[in-house]
Amino acid sequence: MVNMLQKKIVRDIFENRASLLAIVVVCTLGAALFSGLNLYVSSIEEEIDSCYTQANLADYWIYKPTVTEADLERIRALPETASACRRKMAEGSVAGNLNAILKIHALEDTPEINIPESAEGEPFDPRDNSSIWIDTRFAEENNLRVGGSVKISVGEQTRDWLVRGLVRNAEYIYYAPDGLALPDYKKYGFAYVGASALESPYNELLICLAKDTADAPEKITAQIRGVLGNVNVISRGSQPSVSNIAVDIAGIKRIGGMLPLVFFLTAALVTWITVGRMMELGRQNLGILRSVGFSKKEIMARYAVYGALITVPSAILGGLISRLLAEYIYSLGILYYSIDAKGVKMVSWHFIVSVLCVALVTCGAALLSCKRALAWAPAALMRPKPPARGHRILAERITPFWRRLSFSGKIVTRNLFRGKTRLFMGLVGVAGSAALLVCGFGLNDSMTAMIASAFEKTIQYNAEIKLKRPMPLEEIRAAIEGAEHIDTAMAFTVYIYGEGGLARNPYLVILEDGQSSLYFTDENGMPVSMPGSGALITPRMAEALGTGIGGAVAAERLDGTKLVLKISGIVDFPVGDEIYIGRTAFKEISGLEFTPMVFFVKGQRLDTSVLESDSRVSLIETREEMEENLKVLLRFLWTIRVILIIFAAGLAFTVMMMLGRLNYHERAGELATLKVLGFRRGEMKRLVLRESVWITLFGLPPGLALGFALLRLLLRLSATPDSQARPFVSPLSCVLVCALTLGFTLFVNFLIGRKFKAIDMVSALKSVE
Amino acid sequence: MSKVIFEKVSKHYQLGEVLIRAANEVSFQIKEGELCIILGPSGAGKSTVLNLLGGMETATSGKIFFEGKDITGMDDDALTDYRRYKIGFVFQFYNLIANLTALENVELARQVCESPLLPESALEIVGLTDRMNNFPAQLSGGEQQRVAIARAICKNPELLLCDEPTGALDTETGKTVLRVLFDISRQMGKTVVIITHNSLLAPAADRLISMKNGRAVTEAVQESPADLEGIQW
Repeated sequence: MVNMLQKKIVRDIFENRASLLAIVVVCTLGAALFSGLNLYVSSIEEEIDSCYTQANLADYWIYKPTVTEADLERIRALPETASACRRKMAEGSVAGNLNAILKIHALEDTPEINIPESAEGEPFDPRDNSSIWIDTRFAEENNLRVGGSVKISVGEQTRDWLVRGLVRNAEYIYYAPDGLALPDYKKYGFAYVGASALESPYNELLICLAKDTADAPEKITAQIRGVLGNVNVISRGSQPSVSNIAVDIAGIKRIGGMLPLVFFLTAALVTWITVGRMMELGRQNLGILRSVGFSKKEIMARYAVYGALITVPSAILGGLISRLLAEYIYSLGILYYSIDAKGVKMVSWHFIVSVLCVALVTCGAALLSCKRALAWAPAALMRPKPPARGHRILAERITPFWRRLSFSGKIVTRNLFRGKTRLFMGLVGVAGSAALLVCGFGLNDSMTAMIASAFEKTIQYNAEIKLKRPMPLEEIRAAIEGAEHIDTAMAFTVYIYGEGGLARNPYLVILEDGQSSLYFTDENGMPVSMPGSGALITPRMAEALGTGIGGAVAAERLDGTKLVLKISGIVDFPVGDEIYIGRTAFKEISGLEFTPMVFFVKGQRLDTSVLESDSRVSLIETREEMEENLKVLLRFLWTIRVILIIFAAGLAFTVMMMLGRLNYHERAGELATLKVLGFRRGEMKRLVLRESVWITLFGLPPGLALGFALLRLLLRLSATPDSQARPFVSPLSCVLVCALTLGFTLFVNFLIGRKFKAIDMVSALKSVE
Repeated sequence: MSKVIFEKVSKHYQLGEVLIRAANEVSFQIKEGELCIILGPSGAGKSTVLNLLGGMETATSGKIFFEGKDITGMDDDALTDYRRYKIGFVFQFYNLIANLTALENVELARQVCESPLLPESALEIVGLTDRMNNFPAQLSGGEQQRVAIARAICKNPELLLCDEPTGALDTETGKTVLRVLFDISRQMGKTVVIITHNSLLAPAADRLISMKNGRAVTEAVQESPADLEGIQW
């Protein structure tokens, strides 16, 4: 049965509904952003992990021209090996779409490692030598269907295959070969056939290690090479799809952890202060309850309801919004992956943590304020709390300044410093929201600046051509219309081992000594030419490897060739995970021949159509296409930016609203006095509401500074080996942030100002001051 | 000529199904320069009458004339101007702004009127020249009420309305405050209306209006009001 105390609390809550609603909004936004971003991350992470587990994803891929039965046995005999199998691997082109390349794996048995997942049609059958099982995304893009046939050329052999099934594979979740930033499912796919259907030899070995193996990749690779000689070895961490996904998820995870945390801290602080103030305003009620005999425990238990009443709707709304947010981001993020999208999972622990935090903050603030008030004697509580003692502020001692202030200016200035809690809450709210807004706008500015720096400053060529098999420069020159200048280059992946394992696996790009395709500058913008000896690296690479100019790193080619790269310069190139070395320097350190496989072409209105149908060419990409691909890749960050701006704007508005209401309610008596004295509404607004404008103006500079620091940290955390944007906030963005925050303040002032009309002079002045 | 005329003024409040008649067809007049005391027990409707006269509330029916002008038909802005230029208020609980010194509280009122007194002069009239730089919390109850009076007279109002000005004060302090109000009426020729439930003050008024149950039951003009010094309560 509801007792009187409960009835009273319900009525108190009804009277304070607007403030409670504002707190619910702030808590909801905090919980939704934190759990929404993390729900997406944990859903994707779980799906991918489950995919790896179900497929029994290999720990190592080994490539050797011919993998014999004996090689397989030798690998199986290694103590760390749990299981191993061999495959034939060949590239095939699809008739009708000569550019489309299928990586075909041929197996003699039902696979136990990298098990393909059947998406449609029949499961893979290695004994069937006339059928093929094709990548679902490739089939979709190339209009291939189960039951249909497809003509595929492998080397000189061309034949028809019956498409018996469509499959997915954990090793191809993010398939972007040839240095592509984004998967191109129309052009690149994979397929499975029975071993007997492919004439080529076995050339690929897959290994799964025993579960308790903790050896570093460097050691395992050395063991493999110990039994098979100098073979190409790729560990799971550096397998292109796995490493791309890992980098992607790690970046989002860091953003999902940091940004909502700042948001949540701001919201928590504002909530704590507001709930505390609400309790303070109702302290006379506590005195009355104590005087009629309610125990402290009973009163505190009832007042905890305040916290619960904020927590429950915040949890429900936060849960719903976080789900919508996660589903929206998921719908964008999943497009990059070839995976059976199961959708966002039901709940993540982040949601429970955020609800607990809301409960802790709201119940904690309510109980603590209640406890503090109940320490007073009931009689003291029933007396209204004396208003804050007037006192002179520091500014009054600066006589020339104080004298120049108008009378209302003096009142506003003194009032600003009178309510220190209100001032603090306002400053935290404004600075926190402005910082998040700066971060949101700055993300866009930094990305735009990064793209401009890469594609307008550094990259001077108009198209890049990559080869599968060597081709003479003259032939290429003759095949491209409009080519004004062509630089040749060579590029291959190298492993750089750090302490305890693999540190990075960048491309080593060997450029001509006098090349003009890439205009390198150092971090101060000074031009850097290709050094006669040593290599050039990017600042993010230098940081990751813990090296600098004059240092050296040990790199290893996939075939085991070891290279020692001396660092001659650090160049500011914000995109690409690459190390650059001149042709002469490369020859000096490796003794290897320079075989051009990459061509940088300069020229307007280039026509590369002849090369597009040449089977020796693997990729032709224009500068515009590269730029567009990078923009698509950065779309996720763009989405985060929009979400961040919306949430930060919501926070800013709600904080200003809470501040305005608090100001209004705490000064109801003062406002009534002004009204009785004959002050007009505009004059009252100038006297009372100008305070929030000043709080906003004071909060903005630290907000902008904090926002820039946050942006710097965010970009640092979300940097991938492929790209790192420098923190940059354009003057326009700064103006927008200030205008938005100030706009909210003025709008809230307008709303609060309308309430002035309804001030009840009689009842406000009847109360004891 | 009458400064104030109340003609059958009523103020009713509808609280749910209950109609509260706070003032019921109240009629009286106050002449210029008079010190009028409105007397009555708690709930008699005195504050309602003062609030109606001060333009803080609007009448349900009847007419209120101030200097011949009907204020019952005025809109919100006109009532603000009326309070701003014509009326000075003194409340039971002073209602000073805590963060302004005595002088600044008085100066605040000066901001919104046409021919104000100097704040220092207003404080001198109430005898607080030496406390003008103190904040309200540093003043006694009587001193705070005198600052409130100074704030009211600084506007140089036509009508000074005082709602239980001694209600929160002890006898001696109350007397000091009343002395100030009487001096303002007698020496400055201001029309002063004081509402009180203390019948012992009645002999000192130029005009005495008694109220009961929302009605003005008696209205008397006292040709020779008693001296305040001789009154004890």
